[in-house]
Amino acid sequence: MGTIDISIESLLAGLLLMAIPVYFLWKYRTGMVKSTVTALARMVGQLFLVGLYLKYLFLWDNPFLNVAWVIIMVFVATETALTRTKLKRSIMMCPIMVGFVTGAILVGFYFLGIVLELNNVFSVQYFIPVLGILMGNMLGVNVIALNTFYSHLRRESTYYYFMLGNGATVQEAVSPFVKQALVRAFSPAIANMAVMGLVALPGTMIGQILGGSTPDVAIKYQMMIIVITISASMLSIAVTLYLVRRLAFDADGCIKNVSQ
Amino acid sequence: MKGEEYILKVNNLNVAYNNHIVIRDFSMQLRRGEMVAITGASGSGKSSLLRALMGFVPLTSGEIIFDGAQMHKGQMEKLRRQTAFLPQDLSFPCEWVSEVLETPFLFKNNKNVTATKAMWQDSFQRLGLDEGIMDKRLNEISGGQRQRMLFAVIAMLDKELILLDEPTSALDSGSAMLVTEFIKEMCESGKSILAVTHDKQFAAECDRIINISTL
Repeated sequence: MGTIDISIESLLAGLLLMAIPVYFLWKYRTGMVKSTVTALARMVGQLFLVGLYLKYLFLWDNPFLNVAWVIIMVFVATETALTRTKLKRSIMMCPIMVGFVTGAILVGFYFLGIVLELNNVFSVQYFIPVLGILMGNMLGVNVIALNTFYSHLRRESTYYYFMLGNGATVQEAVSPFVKQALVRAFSPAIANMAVMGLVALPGTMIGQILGGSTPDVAIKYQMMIIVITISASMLSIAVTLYLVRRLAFDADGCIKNVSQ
Repeated sequence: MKGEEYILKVNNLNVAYNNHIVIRDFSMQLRRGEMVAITGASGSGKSSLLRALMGFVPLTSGEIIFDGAQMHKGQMEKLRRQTAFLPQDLSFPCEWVSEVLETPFLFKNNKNVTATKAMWQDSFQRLGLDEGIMDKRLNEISGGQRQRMLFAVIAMLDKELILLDEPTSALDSGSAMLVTEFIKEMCESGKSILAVTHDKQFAAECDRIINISTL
């Protein structure tokens, strides 16, 4: 059972549905019409480009090219995280990048090699989508976690220094802030996991079914995707925050200015 | 009692933020078991002095000698292991009073400190606090109650040197008297206290007053 292709005309007809949100955004003078239309145009352009280079990645299926593509994804994700968190590149680039690489490699290869038992873990059909979904989720979680961590550390810095001044090590003094960051970053994913399949059918499962998989295969992939994205995200933020503790505080534990 | 007469000596301390000098050529000594008030106008660098002593702001020049040993950049944890510090205007990244009270006793450096229920009860009673606040959320108790409960923590940490920033600022006169008495009792038990304050009544209860503005 294959997937029905969408012709350009049909695609344009489908894109016309965006007129509904655009109309209401215009009617209520939200000031979001321009940004919505721009975002739509960007999405169309970016996805066509992605389709183009994925076509060649799939055509060549070369492990070196696939790995090179993932390296590019890591750089782009790091740059995006730095932009969205407004943190200093000189201090934060290394912790964020190492966090992404650690999460992607350890969890990605565990899934591809041990769970899927692939002979060639670099096979483009699995390697690129799995690493892609891991990178996307790690990026979102890192941005929320780092923003929460630093906003609270700035706002409640007196409490941080209170703890240092009463015998805490830097690791001990930042732990309430790490706790807040983890709660904020992981609550949505954990809440989603709890209602998975009840409130809405998840994306991976729908994609698999539309792609021709049977529902029992689709649900297994969906479970795995949820588990690997949460695990990789947790691993990446743990590594990032561990390195941040070493780089973003001075020898006496004072908070360095890490904002751009 | 240890050999050194002075637990803390500060020699020719200079502190500046972004080329703006906040403390100029400040020197002082604190004897063991002594209670000293640092007074001065707002913006005279009183709080910065405490932060500098704890290693939270870099020194432009000068030296801090704690228990006979000079403290260098990167070694301030040595001093902090033996100090208790209560800053002004604390806001908390947690929800429950019990979290704030218990957290300092979980630190590796404080693992030898015992905080029994009887000790909490005794401190709370002397500070005019109801034990029931331990089960409350932080937003359910007043600023004065928060301030007083932190004094219970500081006392039970049992450190040699105690640095306090405006210890009576969030308190009504009755609570301020209780806290002043509580601090004096800590001092009488051998602790050395250095307190930055605007409160003339509190300063009058100290062994010495150093006015930072007139230095």
